[in-house]
Amino acid sequence: MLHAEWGFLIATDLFFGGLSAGLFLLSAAVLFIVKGDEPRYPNVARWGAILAPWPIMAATAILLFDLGHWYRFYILMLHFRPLSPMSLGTWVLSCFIGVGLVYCYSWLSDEERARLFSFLPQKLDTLQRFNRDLSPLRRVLALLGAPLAIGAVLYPSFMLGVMPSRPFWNTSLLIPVFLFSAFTAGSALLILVAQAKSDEQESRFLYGVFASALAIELAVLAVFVLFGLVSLEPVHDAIRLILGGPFTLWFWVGLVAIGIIAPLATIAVALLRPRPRFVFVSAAAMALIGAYLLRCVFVFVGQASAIE
Amino acid sequence: MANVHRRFALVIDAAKCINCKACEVACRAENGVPLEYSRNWIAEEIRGEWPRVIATYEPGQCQHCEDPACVRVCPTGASHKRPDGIVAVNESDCVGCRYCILACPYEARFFREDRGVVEKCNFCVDRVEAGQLPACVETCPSKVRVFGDLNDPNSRLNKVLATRRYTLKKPGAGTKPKIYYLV
Repeated sequence: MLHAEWGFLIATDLFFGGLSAGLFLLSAAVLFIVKGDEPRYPNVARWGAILAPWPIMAATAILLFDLGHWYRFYILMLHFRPLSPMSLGTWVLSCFIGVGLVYCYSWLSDEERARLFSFLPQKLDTLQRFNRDLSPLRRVLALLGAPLAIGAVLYPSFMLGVMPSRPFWNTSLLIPVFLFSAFTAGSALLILVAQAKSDEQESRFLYGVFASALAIELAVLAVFVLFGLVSLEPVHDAIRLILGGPFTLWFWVGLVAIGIIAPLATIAVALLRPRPRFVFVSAAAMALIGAYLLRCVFVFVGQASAIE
Repeated sequence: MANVHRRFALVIDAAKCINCKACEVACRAENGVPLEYSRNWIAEEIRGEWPRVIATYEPGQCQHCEDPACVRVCPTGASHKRPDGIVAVNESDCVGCRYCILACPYEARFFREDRGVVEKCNFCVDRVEAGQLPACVETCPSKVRVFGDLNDPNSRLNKVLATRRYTLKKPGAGTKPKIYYLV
């Protein structure tokens, strides 16, 4: 069994980070697609905003428990080292969580806000003054949060990619791999959550985004493997870990077949002829499993690769 | 206080190594390293079959690179390079993220589960500051290691480097290691 310094906790952290960023970016993007004064795809915008901050908050909590001593995390906040991807990422994630929470809050209706504030104990009654409608600020918050969300999704590829000692990671192709996987995961979760409330047009839009993200992710992974095969010997050796090496099954069966090709084929067939909802749900669930496996495979294979 | 005008390095003559592991024992004793971890090691390679067999032993440790990848990636600055070239870890700033362990091409670092921090060879910095040799250098019975100052033209280290051929480990990593292996 490979000894890995970074294990499933880190893979889970990267998955949740990508999921949050994907949700936020989809919500922010559709906010600017309007029909009259209203968003054309209101459920995608609303549910993307409402779901976005929670996975990344879970990711941050997971990250703390992966540290040597979780209570020493504050030391990360006492230093800013612009050339350390982890230091930059700490600040980007912190800001993204803050903006994501406010953006999420801006999508709550009057009743939902009233219910939320009804949980406050009387001692904290002064906090009632924050019970305000922030919906006019949604676009500003979306524009503010979009670069942070992109930062959150790109930070893992930057963090892993800067290590020449790990040739599997040491390529800028990690950026599109993680970026499109984030869109896949975000759109898949939206299919699971928002599809039931969406009309036909909005559902088809969501399926289109989902299928496009899957197709691009597959193409980028193909380029990643081809690039590795024609690259220098250390990279070539690293790629062999997924081409006949110990991670072959995880990559090709788990990630590529179950996580990308199966949901892509399912959604393509379902778009041609109307299918029951569970077909789309199963495709989305498979893609979420695939997005998680992608992080697991990349985290473990990267650590198994080394230069001689 | 780091020696500002010095630049410490090490020469290893692996051909002299007899695999007695005195360097490992001395390091443990000097730095309080538990048995399950090691700041230095001896890589053993046995080639051929009896009676035509050859065994080679090569001591390994942190390479105290000129451009250390571990220092570049450290999010808190706990991993740092001193003005005298020694790469060290400030344990009070280490959060135990283990990023440096992955960035190091030489696998010279380890995570102390019991203390939640990363450790590595620091050339026995306290001894060096007191004018002594690192414990592994002093204890080696076959004088495999030569420790010295690259900025001192009269140091034994520079004399060895001027007269012997040497290699560096994993030059492709671009970290410019400062442990010179004689060939």
